[in-house]
Amino acid sequence: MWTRLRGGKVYDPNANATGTVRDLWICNGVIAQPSPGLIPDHDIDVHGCIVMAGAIDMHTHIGGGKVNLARMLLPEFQHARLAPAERWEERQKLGPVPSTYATGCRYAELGYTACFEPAVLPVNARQSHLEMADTPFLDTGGYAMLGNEDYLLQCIADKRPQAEINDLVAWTLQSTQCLGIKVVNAAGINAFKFNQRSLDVHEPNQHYGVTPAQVLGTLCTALEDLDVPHPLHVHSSNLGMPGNIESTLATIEATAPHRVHLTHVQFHAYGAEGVHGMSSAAARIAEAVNANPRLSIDVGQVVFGQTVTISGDTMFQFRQCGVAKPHKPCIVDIELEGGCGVVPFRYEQKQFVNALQWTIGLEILLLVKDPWRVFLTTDHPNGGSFTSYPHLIALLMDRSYRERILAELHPDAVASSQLKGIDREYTLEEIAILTRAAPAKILGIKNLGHLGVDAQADITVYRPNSNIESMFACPHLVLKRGKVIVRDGVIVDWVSGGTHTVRPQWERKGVERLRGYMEQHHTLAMEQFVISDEELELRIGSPLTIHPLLHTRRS
Amino acid sequence: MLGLRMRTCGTCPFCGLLCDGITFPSQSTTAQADTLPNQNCERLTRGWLLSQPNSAWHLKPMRHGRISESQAAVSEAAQLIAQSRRPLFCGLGTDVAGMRQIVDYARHVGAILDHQHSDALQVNLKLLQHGGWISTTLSEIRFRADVIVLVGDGVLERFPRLLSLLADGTKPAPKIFWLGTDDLRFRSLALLLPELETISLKKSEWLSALSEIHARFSKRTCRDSAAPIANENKNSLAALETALAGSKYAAWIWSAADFLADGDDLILDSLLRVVTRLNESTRSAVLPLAGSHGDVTAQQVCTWKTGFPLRQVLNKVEADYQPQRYRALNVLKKNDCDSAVYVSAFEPIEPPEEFWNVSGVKVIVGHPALKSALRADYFFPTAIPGIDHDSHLFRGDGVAVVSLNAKRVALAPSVAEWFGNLLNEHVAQGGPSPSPSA
Repeated sequence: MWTRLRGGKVYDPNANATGTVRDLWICNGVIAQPSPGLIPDHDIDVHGCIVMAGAIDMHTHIGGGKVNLARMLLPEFQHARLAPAERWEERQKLGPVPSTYATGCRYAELGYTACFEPAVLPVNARQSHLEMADTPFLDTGGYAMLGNEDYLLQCIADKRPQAEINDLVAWTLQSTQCLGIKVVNAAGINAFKFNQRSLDVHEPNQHYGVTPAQVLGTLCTALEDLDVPHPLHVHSSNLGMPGNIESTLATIEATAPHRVHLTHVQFHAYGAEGVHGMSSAAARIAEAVNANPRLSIDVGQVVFGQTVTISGDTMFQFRQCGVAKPHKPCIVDIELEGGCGVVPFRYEQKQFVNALQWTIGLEILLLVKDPWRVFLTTDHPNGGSFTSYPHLIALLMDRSYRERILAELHPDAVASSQLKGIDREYTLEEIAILTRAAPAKILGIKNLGHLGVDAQADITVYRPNSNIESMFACPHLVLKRGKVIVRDGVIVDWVSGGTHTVRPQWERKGVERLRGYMEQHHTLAMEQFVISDEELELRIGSPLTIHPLLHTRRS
Repeated sequence: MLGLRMRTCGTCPFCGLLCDGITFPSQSTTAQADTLPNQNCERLTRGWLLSQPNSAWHLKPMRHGRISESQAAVSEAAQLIAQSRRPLFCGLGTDVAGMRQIVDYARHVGAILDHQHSDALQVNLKLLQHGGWISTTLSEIRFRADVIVLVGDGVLERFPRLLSLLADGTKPAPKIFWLGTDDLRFRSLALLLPELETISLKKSEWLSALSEIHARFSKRTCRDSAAPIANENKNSLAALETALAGSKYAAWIWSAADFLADGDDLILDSLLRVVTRLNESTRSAVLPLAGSHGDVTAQQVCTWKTGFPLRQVLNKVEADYQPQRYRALNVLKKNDCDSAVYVSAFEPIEPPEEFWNVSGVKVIVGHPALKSALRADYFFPTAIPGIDHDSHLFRGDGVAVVSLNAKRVALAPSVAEWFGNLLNEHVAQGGPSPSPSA
């Protein structure tokens, strides 16, 4: 069965296509090369339309215990609608933590076809995959959280061989069926369980005597040794604290010379200057990223309005309890692995700190020169809902639009912001990099994010519109594995996604000590942490794609 | 081939602890004593006994008390449910796969969803939704807690292996307190566990006791003297306060089924305030335990699939979450449903008497030993999750989905299979569908 998308203006950064008019041919759900003279079974005329690969959100909290806890906590903000919405206004009425069903629908309606859950606790991995499997349309994957387990910290404190840590990391990736490793406030969540209330990059966790820098170095080394494509995904120390730029830069230094991905850097780019004791350090972050090709970042852009923050960083979230809106914060210590904090929050544009956060996110996006190493995220729902992406893309592509909004913010934030002086406007090609090609590349996923032969036929087609926000909010067509699922913003057909993972090798003897530790201290058997391929595919219900490793292993 | 064993070691599905490493007997065609798993657990023993097939079991679908051909029964039941104005799906004693199918089917037919334990679930949910909490999980307590406070009379009956699960032999044993009510039953239970420091308070004393503890850690004088605490308890409470003052990680565990009476929510709310206060200087957290008969499983699956917890009605386009209105017993008493499906797969727990007052079709999907099989309009016998078929269940602390393997060959289809059949039949009959593809 052949389908042809005929005559669209293709934006495919991998092929240097920037509005190149050409046909796309699809066979069996992938982009294919037809034999000369082939007549397609379906011919879809997209003349004049902009054609991109399906968009990818590489950091969005869409599945797992913390998300479901937030749903239970906040029914008052939940939008009741379950069915696909026909009008954009209806689709925007989405609570901060929608159901799996609504999440899949809304992402697909925006032209997103793959999303990655960045905080999968190993003990909760099965729930994360169950929820993601129940999220229609989307290909998914997760980053397993490491860096706060009592076992790992004890290993580092005991100076266990790196090879043993490598086996632990590889075993975790396989057991949890994850694509990467994330560390959240390295050693800090654990320190909080021992009543330590702060922890900087070179400061020891008082119980284990291990610093965040040691944890980061150990895990970066492990991922490099194991050839895992996605570099360590790092939520740095001291999130949200004025002056935390120093911790963030120290984190960058501590991870040298390894590749590293710093996540939601907007929340880690604060100086401590000015009358309010808080200032933008976006320029310093951008400078560091521009100077270090080993770095990539996602932003965690703030969007004004009600949301709920959900983070593994209990040390930080506990400090935030006092500003919870509404006041019902939840902090959970979890299974010698980590934790989660769910704190409802409302970002106000007339509030200095929130307005400053808004400007910092955009400053970072505009000051980092290489769009292949910076990603547009709201850290959904922490900075705001993913449904704001069309609005945010418009802000990046239209200087006058962002300056109009800037003028409405708290005047001190406006005065201290560099944003007004930045004239850069993203091009469509750069948007295609930022939201498609670059996320696939940084995750090591070869068959998504581009429109070359053998790519999965996840395609978004936009009708050109001078109103950029409207154009990205309501794609003309969205195809998932070659099937039209959205037409003019409305869902017309139903397709399930699959799970993306990697599979580095590990040796059984390397995790035998872990087995003994778990028998002693845990309340679940080690086998309960293992999700087999068969379980994922048949019982959880998500087909598996295992991506190749980097093959850069030194001889 | 009744009861042919497939595995010897596995996870027990009969309470929210989902204990691992249980040795199940190799042959179990009868419920003789020597076929019982030897784990010193009343819940396991009871569940296992009830899972032994006997001649009274109804292993075939039934229609008005008579054995029926399966497809015909499914077809008729689906048609009658589709014709009803407002179906109620209650009981909901099933696993993740069963609940996923139930919610999908509920979306097609516009059903109300509620679990048989939802009064207890609602106690915890209301607390959470009112002011949040600082909570913990079983391994955290085992590894870290130096003080454990069991709150309520029934927690060890509902979770018999709790204390052994929390015992980590490599660290000093935590100080364990048990706050119970002032009655003979609690006192006799407490006598069996002399290593626990028990404090038996009248219900009226609980608030005063918690206020005193709160005041001590707030460095304020307690103003609440409405119910002065009996002298014999003052020493025990002082010991608890002293232990808390010196603790590095104090864990409070309760089972919400002990707190269903009016005003009990104030007790738990006071307890949460104590924990919040303790966290100003040390660490402390609560563990509201649940998880039996798939209650946490139903709550979690319902929440992620619809965005709302149980006690909601689904229609073709939206969910309506009203915990008071859609409490199953209220719905049944007010005749707010005109068909009802009751699910109980773990044990043969009969539906409430009000179930039989429903005007329309009454369907039971459940354990083959259910006596109401004969009374229902349609009865579909089910396999037991985690015994007869591989299963996923949420553990009682809500953080782990445990994978349970079958211990024997299933004698009946799973809940998921029956609801999948009902949904397929609904679609085949041209029933309304909420999604473009169905």
